[in-house]
Amino acid sequence: MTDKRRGNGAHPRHSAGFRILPVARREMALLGRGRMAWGVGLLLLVTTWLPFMLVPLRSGTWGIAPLDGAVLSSITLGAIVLPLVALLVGADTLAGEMEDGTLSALVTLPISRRALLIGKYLGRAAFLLGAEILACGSVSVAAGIAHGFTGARDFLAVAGSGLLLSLSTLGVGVVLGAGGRGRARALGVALLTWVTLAFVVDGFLLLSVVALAPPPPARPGVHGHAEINAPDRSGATSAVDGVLMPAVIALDPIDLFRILAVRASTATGERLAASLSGMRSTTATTIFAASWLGWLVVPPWLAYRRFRRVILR
Amino acid sequence: MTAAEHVPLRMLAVSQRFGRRTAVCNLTLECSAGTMTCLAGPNGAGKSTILAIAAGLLRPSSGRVILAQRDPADVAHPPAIGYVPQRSAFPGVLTAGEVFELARSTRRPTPEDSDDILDVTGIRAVFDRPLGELSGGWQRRLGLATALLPPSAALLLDEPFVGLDPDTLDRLLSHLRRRVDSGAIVLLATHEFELAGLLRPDLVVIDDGHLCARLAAPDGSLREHYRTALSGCDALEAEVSRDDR
Repeated sequence: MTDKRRGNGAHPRHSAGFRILPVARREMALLGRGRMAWGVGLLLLVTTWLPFMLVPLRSGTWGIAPLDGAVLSSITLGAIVLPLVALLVGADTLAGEMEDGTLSALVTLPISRRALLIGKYLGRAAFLLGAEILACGSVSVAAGIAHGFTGARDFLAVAGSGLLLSLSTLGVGVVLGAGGRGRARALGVALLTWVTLAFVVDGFLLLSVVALAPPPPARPGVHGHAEINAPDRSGATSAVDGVLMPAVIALDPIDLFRILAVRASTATGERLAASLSGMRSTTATTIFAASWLGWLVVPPWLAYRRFRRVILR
Repeated sequence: MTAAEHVPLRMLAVSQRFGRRTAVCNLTLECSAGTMTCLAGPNGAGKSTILAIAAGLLRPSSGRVILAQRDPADVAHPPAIGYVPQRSAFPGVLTAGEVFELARSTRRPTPEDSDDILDVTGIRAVFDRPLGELSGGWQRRLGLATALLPPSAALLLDEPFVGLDPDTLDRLLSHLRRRVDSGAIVLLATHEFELAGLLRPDLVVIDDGHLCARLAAPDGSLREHYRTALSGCDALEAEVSRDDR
């Protein structure tokens, strides 16, 4: 036995990676074999295919939707479904295992809580990534066949933006479940957070936009909240458009997703070019990039701050 | 390095309170490298709490714990320990092999050590089976296997003999002997005095969160020593409470 040879117990110092990756693999295995995997996969498949196939029903016909309509509907639906899924998956990350008592076996291994949290977060993120690639990838292929290269690219743009939204709300979910107050409570708070981000904050932002915006648009937009940045009638980008509006939008990752997805998609970008004028300035782009970074980094850091104080038995 | 730093496990004036209840009261305990200590005491005496504190799962309400020159409750740089709780819990959808592999990849034992643990616990036979399908005994063995993997500053074992068949018990006892000989410290809480006695451990008797007695590798029946120490402790307690009145 090698206890003496290894300095009798202080664990050898290796890079954190070799501890993070096994935890991430374990997390993916845990998720992949649970019922949650089927539920998440099915939900994402349905919500990505639905706009693509059913939008034409508005005109009473079956078939493939026009590209811009399908993309905008996907963005609207994705803005509701993706944060819901990611928040619930995130809230269960620590709360579930704390409640089941299975986390104690992990923390008594020579893994720091930081490595443990990162591993679990990465495992869940990889799972969500896989589910989204499956759902959006299949629709992108179909859109490529129906609408050519532009169609595939537009859906991939939505998928990429959706991935950022999923990762940021996954982090928020992990924070909510890191306090050790039980799975039911964590999931309940996650649902409440979803309602707040998807509807309450969104409504508040919309009101702010209306209040802050220059003269109202002559023709109201028709798709979701993509028109929240009303174009400046004077043609010049006002200070409100240039800084304040992007800053307000940055408060909600769901609105960040909408702006990014609409901007990245050729069909919708062209259609809403006037509305997006203020969102394409360098200042706005910088604010959005910083906000994404913040939404991706700060929640996992907060989760670690909470998790390190939790007593596990 | 001072002499005190050579002591792998030191619990200094440790108290643990849960609300109004004091589970451990002002406990001072030192375990040197290459020693085995048996914690004994009635149910609810505080043995499991002491092990959980030593494992870093609980941060004591007061006092200090040092294990391999580190605070076991330091979440950033935890010392390597092997901890077996009274009830090991693993996710039912994982296989025994996956759980063991995770422990192996984080501890990084030599292949020989890893094979040795697999032989001691015999869990190779159920490597491919999901834990949800395994009996309590097999889950117990898996908990032992992940905890016994070297290297460890200390093995903290809460009722390690429960639920094991005689052959596995024999292998476990000889393995623990080898670990102590190689310099590990073993702190175990058990009521199985006959089995623990075969290892000639130091005996620490705990009652109501207090350390009643400590006997260095006593000869003879561990059970008798325990009973004598506990009755002495009860007599002392009665005397103290009489004085208080």
